[in-house]
Amino acid sequence: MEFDDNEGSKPTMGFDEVNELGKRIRSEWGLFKKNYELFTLGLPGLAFIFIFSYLPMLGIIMAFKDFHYDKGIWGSAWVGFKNFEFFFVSDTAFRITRNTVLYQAGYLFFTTVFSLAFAVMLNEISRKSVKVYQTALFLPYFLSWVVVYYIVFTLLDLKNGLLNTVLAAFGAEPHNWYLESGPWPYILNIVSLWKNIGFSTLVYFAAIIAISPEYYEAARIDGATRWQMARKITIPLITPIISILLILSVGGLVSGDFGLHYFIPNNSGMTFPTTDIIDTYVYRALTKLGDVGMASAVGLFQSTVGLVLVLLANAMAKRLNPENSLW
Amino acid sequence: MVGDPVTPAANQTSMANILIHALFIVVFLAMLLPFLLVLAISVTQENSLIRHGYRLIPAVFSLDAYSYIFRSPLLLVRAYWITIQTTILGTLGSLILTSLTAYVVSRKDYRYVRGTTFYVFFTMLFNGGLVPSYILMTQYLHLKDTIWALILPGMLTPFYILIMKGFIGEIPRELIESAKVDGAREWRIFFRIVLPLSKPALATLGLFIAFNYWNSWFPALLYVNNERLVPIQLLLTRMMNTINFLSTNSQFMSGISIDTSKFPNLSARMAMTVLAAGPMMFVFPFFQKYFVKGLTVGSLKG
Amino acid sequence: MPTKKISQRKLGIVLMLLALFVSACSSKADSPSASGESDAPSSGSSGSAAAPSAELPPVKLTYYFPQGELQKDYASVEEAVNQYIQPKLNATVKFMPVVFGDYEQKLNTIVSSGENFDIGWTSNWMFNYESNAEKGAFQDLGELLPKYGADFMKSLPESVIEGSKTSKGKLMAIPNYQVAAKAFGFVIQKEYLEKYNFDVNSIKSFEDLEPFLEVIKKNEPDAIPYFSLGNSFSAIAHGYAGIDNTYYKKGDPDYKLIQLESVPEYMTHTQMLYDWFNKGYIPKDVATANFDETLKTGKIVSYVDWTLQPGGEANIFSHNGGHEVVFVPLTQPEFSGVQPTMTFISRTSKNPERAMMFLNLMNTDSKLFNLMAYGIEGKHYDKVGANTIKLKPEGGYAPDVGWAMGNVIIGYLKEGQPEDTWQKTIELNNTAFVPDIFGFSFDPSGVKTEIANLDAVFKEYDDAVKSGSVDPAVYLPKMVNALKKAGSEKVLQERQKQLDEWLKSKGKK
Repeated sequence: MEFDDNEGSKPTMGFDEVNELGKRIRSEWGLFKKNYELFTLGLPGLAFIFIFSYLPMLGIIMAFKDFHYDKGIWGSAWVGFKNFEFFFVSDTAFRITRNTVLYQAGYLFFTTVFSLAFAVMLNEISRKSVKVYQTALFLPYFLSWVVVYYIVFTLLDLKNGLLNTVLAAFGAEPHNWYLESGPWPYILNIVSLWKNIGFSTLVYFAAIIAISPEYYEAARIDGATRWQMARKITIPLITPIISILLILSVGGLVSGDFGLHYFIPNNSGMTFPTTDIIDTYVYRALTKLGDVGMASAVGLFQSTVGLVLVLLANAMAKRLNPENSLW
Repeated sequence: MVGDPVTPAANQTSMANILIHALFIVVFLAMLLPFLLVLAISVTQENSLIRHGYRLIPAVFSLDAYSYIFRSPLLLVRAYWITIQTTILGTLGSLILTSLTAYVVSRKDYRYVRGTTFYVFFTMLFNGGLVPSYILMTQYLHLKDTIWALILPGMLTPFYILIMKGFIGEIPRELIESAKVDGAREWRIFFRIVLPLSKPALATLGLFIAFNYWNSWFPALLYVNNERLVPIQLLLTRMMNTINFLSTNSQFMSGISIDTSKFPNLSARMAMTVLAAGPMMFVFPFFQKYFVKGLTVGSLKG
Repeated sequence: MPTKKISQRKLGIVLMLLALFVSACSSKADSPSASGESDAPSSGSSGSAAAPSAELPPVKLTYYFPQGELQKDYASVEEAVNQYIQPKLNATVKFMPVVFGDYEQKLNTIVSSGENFDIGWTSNWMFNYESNAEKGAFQDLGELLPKYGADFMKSLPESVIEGSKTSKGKLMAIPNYQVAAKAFGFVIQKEYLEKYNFDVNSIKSFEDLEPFLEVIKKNEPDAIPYFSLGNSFSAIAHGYAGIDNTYYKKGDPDYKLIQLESVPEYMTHTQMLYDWFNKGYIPKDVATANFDETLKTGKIVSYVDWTLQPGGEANIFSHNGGHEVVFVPLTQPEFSGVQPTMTFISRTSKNPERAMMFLNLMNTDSKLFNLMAYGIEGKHYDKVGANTIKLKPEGGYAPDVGWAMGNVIIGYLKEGQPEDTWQKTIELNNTAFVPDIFGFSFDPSGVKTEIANLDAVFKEYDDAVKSGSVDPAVYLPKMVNALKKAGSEKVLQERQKQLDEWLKSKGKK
């Protein structure tokens, strides 16, 4: 790992080729030389991202085209914002946008609160039991939404479902859950929490165990209780991670979880008032038409709103504490 | 396993501990029972499933579903091998690239840190969609029907880079500063200081990345026509998609006299789920050994 | 920890990785060359060349077709097919089987990216013929078919070719010919009809079925008297005429189109279903229950089917747990067109002529068709009659999707199908009632915005309203209103405009 660079040498030395281009470029080059090593560290990743993410982004123009296979992406006719129309003129645009944002906010809130609590609690118990609990937390991660549907169905089935059996035991009328819209916000929030909690818990737990034990030792000597240590040491020290996860999640407020909202309510029409989100709506509206341009238009809309939200969130985080902002 | 002298919980068993355990046992069951249900369905006779619904204890026990899948053991073995290959190669490659990039964007003194972070982040929200990626992979990189088509897409996830940035950001900056004062090069700092101190983070991300590779089927669906390169999850997805297709198109299908009895039934699909997820359960402990507390500056010198 | 042990382990890991890389590279090496290229097969073209192939350069055709489940033994079938066609066409075929569930996604991506391939399957219900033709995915066969597929063309009635054309009147795919006439009516379990001595001839409408359902409900607590599957309102049975989504009052000289959901008969019909639902004839979870799985239990006594065909009863037998059924048609058999299963040649094909020759052969040569559809005799199936075979499920090739490959009439019959099945099919196709506006198809490209939103509205209300699970007095007006907001009137106008033009061009208006 030997690098033949000139770090430490004066920035203005050793440039024959830089001449009349000016002082500005010269000093910029000098600064680059200072950062050169870090730049080489980042280069492989940046090049990879360029090839696999930025090059295909040319496809975004499909959102503004009437895409015909025979004419190709470039040759197809420009149609301006026509592809966006179907989404914005639709009567349901408000409903699905509201649903998407509310659900995503709900998932974000519950997942953060519960996984933080779980991570802090895991830190309080012995490593052996942590192993067992953590493995269990990840079990749902391996079940696709289609399989989760069958599990949820076991609970909600009209005839054999556990929930209706319990209701019947209390003398209540059975519910045909898949024809009602009321209960779905609860069901979906619970299912989402159940499936995703393992991920966030593990992230927070990993952040917590990286905290130097010296902090806790000092606190214990001062006679701090465990609750105080969690509040005054653990949480503040992992705030940067919490902050990053939150900021990034904000970008997903308008992009919902298709699998969760499509499979778990069994794509049942009567639940749409409370389960339909942008992603499922677009899927339903466009499966028959199979229009790539219209699909990418909605995707572009979601990304743009996400970007604006993240920029806002990041600015807010920065104002509160520059250490916690994303950039 | 390292002893726990520094864990706050170690020397006091209290009411709080019992409560925590009680809570986690409930959570444990909530996570485990559905999985057991899947297992139970996979060993229940199909007819009894339709008659009695899904039960934790099979009404009529049957291993038909597994014998159905093991009709072609070679296919299964090959699929496992492909999945294992992609998972290991993909995870290693991804961890190296992710942590390198994350380290760079975690260095606040790096001149281009803001631009680089945004460059990474931007790809999290914006993408060109399926078609351009497909064209890139098949017509420019010529990766169709190669194992790299399963490994390269998804090798660098911006989300993970930014999480890793969060972790690396926790490393005290003085450590890096003092190493620089000692004349250490950036590459050396990264490999000698940053990586060892990031073990829990690497284990966490490694686990996620490995899971993602293990669960991935979409690149295989798109880029693989050669049956020898089909991973285990694509076998599972094909079963699921076909059934889903049948139930959404049953009105058309009845006209075309297709024999639905040929399609894998529910128990077979659940058996496949169990077979596809099962092996990953054993991977967990491997990663967990890195979740060791007390990695401090001092331990570096040892 | 002893350091030596660690380094040994590290060495082990390094070795394992090396092994992985080597095998990763080798699996790259032994994969076939990029598909779709028309690379020349190295051998076989010289010797036995028949007349046409002498002048033809060798080519390889890539053929995407759907499968219920991937088969183990494509290789031997592919080899046999190629041995058979090479002397005739100097071409070989590369099989690209894709399971149904993935077919649309995979083909969409392939055609969008402009990848080279030759032949594929399309239909009006999956990987849509009309919209893909409109977007330029297919070769125009208007000239290719008469030139290189004359035998096949001659073997079909002209109406079939006419019915294969798109809304713009272009022939972009050829039909996989099979039964193309269907009637709407009930499927009822024989056992119950006999047990309660119910005369099927008395059933002429939904109302006539009700007494029977009442008896079943009273005496058979375990049975499902009626299962509502999808739409059960037949415009034809209520005095309207037309074809899919294009209906007008029968005999109307103006062909004024109607929105089905808004006609009074539609309300009456759904109210009757809701009544059945409340009386318990229709199961409470019908809107969300999986029809195929419920059918398997054999509990469903009756349901409607849009695709009744003579002799079709035997097919149901294998789906409903082995219960005999009786078909009770409510409409006469109607020519339904050939668009439910077709084969196209890709726009990106480098050898469209040869592809057409291959398709011609597959649709006229029994040996080739049977090879493609059923595999190799003795290995994949056994002959049990002059033209009847029995599939071997363990043989490694029993996809049984001949209907997606070509003209089934030239193929074998499967055990259980009567000897005269194909004659009957031809007869039925030729004698079936041909709707007045048959051949018209709607081009949605001008109203895509509305169609997209309408599709979503239909999905929201269809299951519940059409199954009778909710009160139509409340939900039907809601649905009609939502359809209006989504632009149903604009689409109807556009449809009317296109129909008027079509009628004029045919001299019917």
